Amino acid sequence: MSNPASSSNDRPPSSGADAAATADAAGGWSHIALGLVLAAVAIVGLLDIATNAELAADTAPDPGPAFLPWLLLWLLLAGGIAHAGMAALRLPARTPEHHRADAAMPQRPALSLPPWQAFRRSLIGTAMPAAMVASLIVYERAILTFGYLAPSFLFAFGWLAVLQSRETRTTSAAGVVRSALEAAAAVGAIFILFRFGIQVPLP
Amino acid sequence: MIEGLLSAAQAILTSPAALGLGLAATLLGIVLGALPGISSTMALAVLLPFSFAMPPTHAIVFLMGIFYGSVYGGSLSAILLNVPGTPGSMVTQLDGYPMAQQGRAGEALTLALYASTFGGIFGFVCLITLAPVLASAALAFQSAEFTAMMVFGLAMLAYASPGSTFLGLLGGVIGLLIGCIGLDSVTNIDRLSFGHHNLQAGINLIPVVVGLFGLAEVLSLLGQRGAHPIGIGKVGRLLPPWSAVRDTLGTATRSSAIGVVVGIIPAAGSALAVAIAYAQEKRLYERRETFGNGNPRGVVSAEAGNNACVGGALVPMMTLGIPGDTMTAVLVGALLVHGLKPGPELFEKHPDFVAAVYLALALAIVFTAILAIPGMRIFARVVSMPPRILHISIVLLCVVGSYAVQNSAFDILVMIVAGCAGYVMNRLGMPTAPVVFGLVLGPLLEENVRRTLIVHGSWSVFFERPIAAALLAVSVATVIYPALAAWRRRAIALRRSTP
Repeated sequence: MSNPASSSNDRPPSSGADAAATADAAGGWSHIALGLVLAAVAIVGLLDIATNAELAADTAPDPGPAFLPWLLLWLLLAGGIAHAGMAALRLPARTPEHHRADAAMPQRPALSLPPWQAFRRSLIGTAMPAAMVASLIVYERAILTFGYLAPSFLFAFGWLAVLQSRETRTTSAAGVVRSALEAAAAVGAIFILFRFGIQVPLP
Repeated sequence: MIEGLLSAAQAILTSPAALGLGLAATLLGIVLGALPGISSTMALAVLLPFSFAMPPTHAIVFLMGIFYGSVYGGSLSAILLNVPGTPGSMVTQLDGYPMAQQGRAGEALTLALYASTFGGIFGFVCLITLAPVLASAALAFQSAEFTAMMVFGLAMLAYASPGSTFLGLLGGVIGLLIGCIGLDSVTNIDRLSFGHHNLQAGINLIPVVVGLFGLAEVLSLLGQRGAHPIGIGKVGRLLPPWSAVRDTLGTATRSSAIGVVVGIIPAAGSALAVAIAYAQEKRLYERRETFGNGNPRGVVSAEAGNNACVGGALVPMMTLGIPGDTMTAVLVGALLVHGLKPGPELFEKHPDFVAAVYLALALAIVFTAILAIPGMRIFARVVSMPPRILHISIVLLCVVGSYAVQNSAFDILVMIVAGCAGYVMNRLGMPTAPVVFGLVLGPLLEENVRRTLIVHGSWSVFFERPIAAALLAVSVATVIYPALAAWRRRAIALRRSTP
């Protein structure tokens, strides 16, 4: 499978086409990873079922509690491998010209990227979501230890301040105070609604 | 049914709490639906935990208010910001925003309200006439037919979901697998819990839904650095000329009919309904070039189709227990929490609750009309609120709402994991809706497959019973067709490229 753009290596490719090729390469490797992860999950599940002696008992005519999970796990395994395989077949081929171009100009956006570079580019735009997930895990631990109010206020205040400075591209004392007030209002409103509105005992 | 309707009317219409709840929920639904990035499913999922403490009739009034209100609310941001509040309103912006740019935002909003109300009433009438008939027919269904119906629903969802059908199917398999985690309901044998005691009780639907549709959306929005959309500040005159209403009556009727039919098809969803309704009107109208440049028919067709879809989507949910779209999948989860299992038995065992669903939808339509007229100018300001407050409030609601299901911190972790998975799936173009469908249908599918095999002792029953065989054949065709079509396209392209 050859990359149709590879013949034009001697002239700078258009940025749009290059970006699309980069996205294809990054997306391709991500899809291979997705397929392999799904297959790995299926193997772990199949091992769990295979090693569970209780599930091996004959329950005829009932197909038994292992039947549907077993069927689904095999489908997931086959589907994951098929998806990874199809994504691999769609990857743009790397020609010797690509390797030479990358070696000559490491910063140049390559038409088809090596896996590590494609993976690095696929991470662009994930810093904020990753930070949110990390902070959520800390927040979940914190509300179990310190209760709902204080950790929730700190979590909301921190994020509102960060997002406000990102929106306005400045950090000011007024902005920080506004974030604190917004956080207090949001946390307080949710606390009142759950605690007194629908009587859910928050931690 | 009449007795049930009277009983539900007495329980809801004479209760100031239920009416107030319905009004507040509809208002909340309109506001949330109007905010860009907040889909109806997300609004419903995030606010679902509030319904747990309510009696079932109040809960359905609350949830239906959010559901219907958010579907209408989506048109506000589509018209004023050129950003669809919900997927179902993405066609509304094609003519709604040009109308707003021409200084006719108020007219476009009122036409959208008129079309929404028309479509809503049309869908409601179809629901109350079709649902009892379909439920009676479904009573003759046996476990083989139910199994085939669920497979059909999953196949349709995989086909209709944005992105690859193959990934949609894998999503459905993942959802079904999550539904299998924990103790088997028949033998009490532990499956796929890896000895973790929290997993032995199974994965609760609500934290997964909240994570997939709430947290995942916020994570996606946090990853974008786009500027906050600038809205059309001036709403202008609200009342459109009478001729615009009169001339679009046919459009509203046709589009509503399309909305109901598409809504009834499991998993087809409102985005498909509005696309078909809009295309149909464009095809029928003589001056097609005016579509996309502020033609009121464009707004009316999209909104009538979108809101009629609500009634249509409730038909398979109520009668067969198969969700018509992701929003009704969340509603199924809510009913299960309240100990109510949607399906033909619901009509036999709880006719008063079925009547309450009808009444709740009717109230939501009326409340939306009542709230929208005086509130349009206020909603126009609300849609411009800074998104950061909304995003963080939603994350807090996701955490607290997941915890509130069983007062369990484990559910918060489930929600976070589901949110991460949903975010990754969104980035890779893997639809998340089939996961929820699979999770909702998983236990039902397993129960029906096993019952079929215990009673009949052979797989051949699925091919001997005509309805089951037909549904399975359509399911297989639905899954295979995209692959065959892609193969044919490639073959034609290859033939053309070779001299």
